[in-house]
Amino acid sequence: MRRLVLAATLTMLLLVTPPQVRASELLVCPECPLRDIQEAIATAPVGATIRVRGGVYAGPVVVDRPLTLYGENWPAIDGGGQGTVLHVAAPDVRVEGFIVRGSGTNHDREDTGILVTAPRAQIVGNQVLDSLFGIQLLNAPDGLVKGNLVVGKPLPEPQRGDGIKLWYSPRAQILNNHVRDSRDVIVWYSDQTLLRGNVVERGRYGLHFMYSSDSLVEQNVLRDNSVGIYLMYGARQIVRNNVFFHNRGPSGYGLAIKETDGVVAEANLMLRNRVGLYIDNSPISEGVINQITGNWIAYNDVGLLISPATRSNLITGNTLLENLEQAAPQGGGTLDHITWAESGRGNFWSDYAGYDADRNGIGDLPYQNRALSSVLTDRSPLLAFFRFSLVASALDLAARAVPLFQPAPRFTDPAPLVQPTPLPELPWSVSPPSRTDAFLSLALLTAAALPFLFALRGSPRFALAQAAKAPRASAPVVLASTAPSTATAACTVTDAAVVQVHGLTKRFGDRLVLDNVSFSVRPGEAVALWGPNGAGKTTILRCLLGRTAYTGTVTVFGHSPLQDGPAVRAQIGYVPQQLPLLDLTVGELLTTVARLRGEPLERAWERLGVFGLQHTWHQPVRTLSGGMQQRLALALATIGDPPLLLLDEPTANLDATAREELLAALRQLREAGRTIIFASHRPDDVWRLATRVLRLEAGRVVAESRAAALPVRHDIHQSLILELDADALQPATHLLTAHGFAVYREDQRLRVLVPPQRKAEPFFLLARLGIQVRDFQLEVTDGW
Amino acid sequence: MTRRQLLVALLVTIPLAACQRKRELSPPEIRYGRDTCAECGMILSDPRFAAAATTADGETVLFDDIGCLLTYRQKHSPSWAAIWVHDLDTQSWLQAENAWYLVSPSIRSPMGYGIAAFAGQDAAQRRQAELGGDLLQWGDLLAHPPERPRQY
Amino acid sequence: MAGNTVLVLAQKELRDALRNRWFLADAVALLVLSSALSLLVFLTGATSPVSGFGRTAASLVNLMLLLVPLMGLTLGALALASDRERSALEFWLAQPVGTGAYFLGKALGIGLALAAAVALGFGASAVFLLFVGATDPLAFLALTGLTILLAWASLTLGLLLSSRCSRTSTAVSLALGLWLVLVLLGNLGLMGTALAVRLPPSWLLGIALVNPTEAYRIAALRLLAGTLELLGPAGLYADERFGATLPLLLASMLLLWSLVGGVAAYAVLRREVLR
Repeated sequence: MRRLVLAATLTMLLLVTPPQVRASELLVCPECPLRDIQEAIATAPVGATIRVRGGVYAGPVVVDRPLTLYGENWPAIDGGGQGTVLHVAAPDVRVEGFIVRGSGTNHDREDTGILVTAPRAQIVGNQVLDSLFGIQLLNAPDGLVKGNLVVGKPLPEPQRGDGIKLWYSPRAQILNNHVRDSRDVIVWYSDQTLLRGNVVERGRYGLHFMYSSDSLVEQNVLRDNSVGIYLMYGARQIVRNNVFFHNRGPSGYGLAIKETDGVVAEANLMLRNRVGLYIDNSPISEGVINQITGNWIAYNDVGLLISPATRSNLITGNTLLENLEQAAPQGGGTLDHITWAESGRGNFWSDYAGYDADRNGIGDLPYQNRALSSVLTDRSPLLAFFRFSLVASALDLAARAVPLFQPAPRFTDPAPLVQPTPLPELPWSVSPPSRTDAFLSLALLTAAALPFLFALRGSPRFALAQAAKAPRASAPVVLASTAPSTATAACTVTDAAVVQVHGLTKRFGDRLVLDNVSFSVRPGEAVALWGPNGAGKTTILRCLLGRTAYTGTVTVFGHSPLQDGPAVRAQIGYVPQQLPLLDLTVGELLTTVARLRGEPLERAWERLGVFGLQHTWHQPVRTLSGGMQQRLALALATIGDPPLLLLDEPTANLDATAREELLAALRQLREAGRTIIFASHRPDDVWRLATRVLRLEAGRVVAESRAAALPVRHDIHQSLILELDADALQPATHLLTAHGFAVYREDQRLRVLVPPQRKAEPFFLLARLGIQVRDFQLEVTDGW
Repeated sequence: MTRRQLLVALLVTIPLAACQRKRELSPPEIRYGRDTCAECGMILSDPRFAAAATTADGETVLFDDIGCLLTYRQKHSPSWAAIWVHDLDTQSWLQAENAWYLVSPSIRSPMGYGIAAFAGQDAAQRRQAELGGDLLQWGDLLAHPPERPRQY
Repeated sequence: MAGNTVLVLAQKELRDALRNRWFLADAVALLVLSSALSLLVFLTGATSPVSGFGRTAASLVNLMLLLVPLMGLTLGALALASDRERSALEFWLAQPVGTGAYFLGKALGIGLALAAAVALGFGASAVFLLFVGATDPLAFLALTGLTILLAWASLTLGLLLSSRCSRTSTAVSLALGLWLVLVLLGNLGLMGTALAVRLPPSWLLGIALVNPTEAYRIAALRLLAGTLELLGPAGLYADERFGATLPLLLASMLLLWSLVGGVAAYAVLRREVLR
């Protein structure tokens, strides 16, 4: 009751007292009678207010009596790059609303924007720009520095000064200032400093305490400095609710505590620093502890880095989230001297792999930090190079699997929390990630789809659909009428040789595969390369395709296949012994070849029809039967109407019917004027298709005969191989030829083509002449 | 051709760079704003007070304050072959044994030891007149290394 | 005409890749694992108000390091060897196609398929990662590009391996062997050497960077973490010597690997083909 009365009386008194007589007020502006601040100060009575209007005023200014300097509309005091700009040399001075800029750069004199050398100064709401030191309190106790913006001089690092510096100035209050691009905000020999709500960025040490104690540091934001806050050689410092963000310069600590006693660091956020919290040999005195509680230490390279000698730290109730290295002893060793839990509560570790069966919020297994790779790195720092390599992962995995290799834990949190602690209250709003980033993921997914769209563009279904839209080709493709295209017709009309081979020699290492082979092929001919396996037939074809190196000269349509491979091959349709077993569908294969040979897809599609293969369009090539494959191969070889066809044992893998069909097709092609060169070891193929036969043996052309010399007997399909004495070979050949047999010499043997009803006749004829058959063999070809 | 040159250049320069640490005893090049003090761990930012020492086999330690060098020397008694300090005025390297030292609380050195080095006695005396304090030579400094300013 | 030929062959290769079980298995593994990992990051990030490049996100690099070279090497090794084994090489080279066009089409087609697989994996990851702001989108995009470069470098190395092999089994075993050396044994040996001898950081860095997978790892970490300090003295050395140009340098190194590998593979193939 009595208290209430007292309060009421006091209020009455306050209301009744008349407003204080205003101390005299001076006005300074560029157009005013008073144009110079220093002059105004000299004339102002103690306690006066000097109002300074916008404009530029030359420094230096010295305030040598208790005054209030009040800037309206941002008057600027410019030091012109010389010395200290504004010097507050008297107590109880207030400076507010000025731009102070352009100090000198002398470190010995410590040129400063606003230098205070007297007690109880109030420096409020100024902008200190382009100054070596920003605001300096030198032997100036009880100062207030509030709401100022300090931007350092753009100098190289070793020449910079401090943004705010306290020197033997206890009980200062540094509030809500914004300091950037300077060296430190540094507190020297000044106790009981209050630092609250400041933002310090892009400096060296955001807040730096030297030999100072009993400070309260709260709600500051320290970002992009080398070190956020460095506590050095002090005691009883309280650091709470600050944000340490992205301090990654050299050293790169969020909060660093060096040889400091009795630190309380609580409810801070250390995010994305190189090291979140660094403790070096603190506390240094006996019987003192540091308390690190309720902090969020997240996404730093190293969450906690602690020097080996450090002890008496209580680190509990913190959240260690996703730091690349959660906690590490500096330079190896263990962190056993740290107390990781108090009254059964430890810290939250995001990489904790235990469980909480009794649901009391505490993990049932201790959190242990013992990666083998980390231990190795501790032993030899160079090995840190292998972080995030598979070797490191493999080693850790191996060590976990084989307990023998398991290193002793670096530390153990006996009671890890299973849930993160609540995020402390911070002067920093966590901005939500921009949703527009999602567009990036969309872009990436689209990029992934692009190559396949590209593939689709070339897909046969798509291409065929397009071809179907186009008007039908005027000339339907009929096998017999697929005459060589006009471009190559010239070669056909003139009688020049399509193929000329002279002195063709080919070696595989020491082995002579082709030995001085010479022949030429004229348009419209069907030349068989006939001989046993290994005689060099395929090699000749490969030489013609320009697919193997050789000596001698080969010209195909006047070009060397080796030099103009693609151009020569554009004139050649090639049918291999067997189509490669491709995973492609018939359609895809046909489309690809048609594109390579520059034929409209529609025409190629019609070709497929001619060979009766249109229904196989969607079938993979590998699923076709042998006959279909060979027909497909022939269809492919005719794409683009090449004037020359090369076939390598085209019937080798075919059954009777298929073979018959293929040969029929080939004959039609021959009759249509195509030049054909084919390799075969089967006489009946030769018989049916060839107009000329080159007999090859061991890489040489041993015989050449016109097909006319061969008996035109369509029913011949077996050959008798006779082994005779050497001197009997010659007469036997004459004899059998005279009786209408086709005879070829193979070394010391004769190959005789025999029709089914005359198989025994050669024996009879030879016996009549007294030629002894030492041995014989009837070559029965498959299916016949 | 250029690709190969690039590769060769890369392969050669990397080892070469490694060998660049010279064996002869010359004062080191300090990367201010990057290198840290061997004693206190602070970043070297102020050339005026930076100091360095080298062992016979070329291993160099850097200090941000002459006081740190003395403290380190007391703690570890290393076998140094050469010790250098900077002249306060010219910021050029000096052999520690030949320099003059002004020890004064008015000298604001990075760790607050307040030791400044000078090449000549005259310059040192001029500063002494200005700032006060004691003028010492290397031997005196070793015999009575200054204490760290305030201890808790 | 030659350009068109290359495109036609590249298209064929792309379609082949879609049927290749190796490719499909690898691509699916990449997609599933990277999505799972990103989901984990997402779940961690979604429950916490802060986010960044953390342990889990770092394992994404690890995963890529494991899968992408495997993919590139095996696909590259399969490409030429299987064509030779089933004489598809003979068939295609009997068409009006030069060896160069054939090789280029092959490399381009598989290269595009690999790039698509990587982009797919990263795209799926990006959905999760970017929504929680776990990484800087530009860095992520750069990482995607870097991974594609790694895929290409390993692809051409695989092609080089298979250019001399006419058997798929030989080529694939060679590829697996090289993969093991690149991602594991090489580093293990280097680690042992670093432990046994006092290797200067510059040497360690120089030797390691000869390995394209290492170049990728360093560049990726530099991109995501911003500095290489976490790699100890060798990382610091790299940062100081090369600074911000390091990722660019390493990316060009990967590109160089793909080019050198490709040219060498082509040269060998050309010789083999004309035998």
